[in-house]
Amino acid sequence: MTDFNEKQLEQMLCEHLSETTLTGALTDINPFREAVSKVIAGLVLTTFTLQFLYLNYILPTIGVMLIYLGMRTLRSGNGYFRGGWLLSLLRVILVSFQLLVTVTPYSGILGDWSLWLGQGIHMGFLFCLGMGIRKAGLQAGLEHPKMATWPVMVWQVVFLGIAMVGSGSWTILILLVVSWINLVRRICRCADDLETVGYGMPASPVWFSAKPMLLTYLVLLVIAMTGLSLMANYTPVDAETVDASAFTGATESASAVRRELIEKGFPEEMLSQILDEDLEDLGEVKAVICGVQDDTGLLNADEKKEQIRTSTVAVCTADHRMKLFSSFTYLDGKRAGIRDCAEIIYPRGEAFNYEDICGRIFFREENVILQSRLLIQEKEEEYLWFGDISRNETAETVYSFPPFSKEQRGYLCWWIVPEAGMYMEDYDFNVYISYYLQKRFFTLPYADLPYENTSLFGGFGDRMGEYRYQIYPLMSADYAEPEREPYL
Amino acid sequence: MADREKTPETSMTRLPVAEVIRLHRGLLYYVIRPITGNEHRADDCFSVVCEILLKNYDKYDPSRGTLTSWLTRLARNAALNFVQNRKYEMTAGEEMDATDLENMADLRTPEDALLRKEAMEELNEALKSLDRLEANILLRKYYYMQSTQQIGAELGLSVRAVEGRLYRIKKKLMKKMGGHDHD
Repeated sequence: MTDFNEKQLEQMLCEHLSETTLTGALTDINPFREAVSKVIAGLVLTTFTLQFLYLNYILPTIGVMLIYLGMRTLRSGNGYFRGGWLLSLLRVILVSFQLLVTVTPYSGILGDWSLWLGQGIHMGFLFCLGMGIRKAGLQAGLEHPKMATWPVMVWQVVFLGIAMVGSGSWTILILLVVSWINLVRRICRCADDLETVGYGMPASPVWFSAKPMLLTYLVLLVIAMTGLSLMANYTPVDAETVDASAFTGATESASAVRRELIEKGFPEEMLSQILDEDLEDLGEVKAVICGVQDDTGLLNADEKKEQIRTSTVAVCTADHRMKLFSSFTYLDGKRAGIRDCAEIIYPRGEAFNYEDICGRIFFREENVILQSRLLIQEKEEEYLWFGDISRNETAETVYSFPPFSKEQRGYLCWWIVPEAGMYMEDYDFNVYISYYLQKRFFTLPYADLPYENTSLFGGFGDRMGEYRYQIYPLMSADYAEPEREPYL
Repeated sequence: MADREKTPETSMTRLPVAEVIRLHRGLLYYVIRPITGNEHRADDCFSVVCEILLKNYDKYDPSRGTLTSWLTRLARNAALNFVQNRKYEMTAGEEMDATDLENMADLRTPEDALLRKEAMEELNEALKSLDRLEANILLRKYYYMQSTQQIGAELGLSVRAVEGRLYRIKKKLMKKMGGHDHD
């Protein structure tokens, strides 16, 4: 092995590099090849979208940043390149703004105007790029330099026009593909033009290298999106401490109600999770129907996802009313999502009213049990059922458990009261209870819980990171009565 | 732009040399300017390069490489010679030969030639370990004699990043070639 030092190596490189195999790459040395490669790659990434794995967000975001990083080197070339650089910076700001707003409930403000603004900036950028190349060609002594980006702009308009037709026909699809291929070809030809005339232009110095700058931008963007989304999705509740005796019968009357319920068959474990306050209005209990669906009947839970246990019990009272209790608790130390939602859907038009809907959640913090009464929103929804519009009434509540709380659980309870002249015993009750758990830090785009379904049986394909549990307890108040008494 | 697209390399030899110079003026200045250091000397050097091209254009052999590579080597060596005033400088009546400029052969003893050959083989072997960016930086620094500022600006790197890369490249080469990093 040759014994030499750094200075000798440098001398050897200076004198003999031309004789090495490395000089086969001499023609790769071009003042703007790196910059042009970034711009071209960015233009290609921003021309199409792929609607899976969030690529419709990721690719354009990387694309606009690559365009900016490429134009950063060219900005000193002439006034048009400087204009193009400024427009590329503007587009980075616009895309970043769009992403940050999309994860919040305000994503609705991003209407068509933001898309058209982005396209306008893009067209302006292409114009500046083409005029910049043309001016550089004039400065380099070319006699009739063309505006290299005119074909790109034309094909961009064609591509957009075909995409806006939006038809699902094969003809449109083929036209889209052909126009996209031509667009990319024209973009690549611009690269050749710029490399040829770029020798005479000075490259602009940079303070930060391109790769770290791109990575830093993407990381900061993700952090900002996560932070904004957490702020938007986290729905804190007002909690207060609760005494353990409130679950076991703090008063004599409460204890008596509990004893009666247990005698009639109410599961003792579930009863110990319900507050006296929600049992006080039961009055005389006629029967208890247990539609307990522990871990079964869960719509889309499987062994990997399964983490919530639900139980549903109906208490039939002497005055022909029914009170339902639906409790949920997390198994094996599993935890709730960033925000959760409980929803009750009951068909409209039946001869019953659903009243006094109440929801509570419980959790433990620092060995103290806390409870919160949830805010219930009732509304009417339309949905399609085999082509016909039907209506449901829903009661829903959205809430978030505190991040580090333990023993998270809760329940819903409500009364089913028959209309005058109707008898509970003649009916079976279908109640649809759904629990939504949003596990992801952010959803793109933002979506309210519960997610809208077009039908009762729709929405089976949940989004990633979200769990939905549905229960269909079928309750029947068909218990033996000596004689039917009219409803009073 | 359109001219170069329509004219393949092999048929460029049929173009008048003045046309070749006009089309590649930017490239020639790009090579000359970092070596000469200032615009005035670059202009003088450019005149010398044009003169050499006029005399030796018919010696260009397309089978040995592209016209761009030939022009690059010729301009680079002419600029080095112009600046360093080496033993190939022009004297009265003596004409510069393009072949001499290309080869830049030193007059050394046979032992020197053998040592140099061995060193070149080791260098070539070590250079294979460089990736595309590292080879690019090395060529720019030691062949084109570009400043770290120019290298950084054209590659989108900060000056510190270029200096750091150069340091690591030299370390890598020395390690491959069995050298040591002290003077």
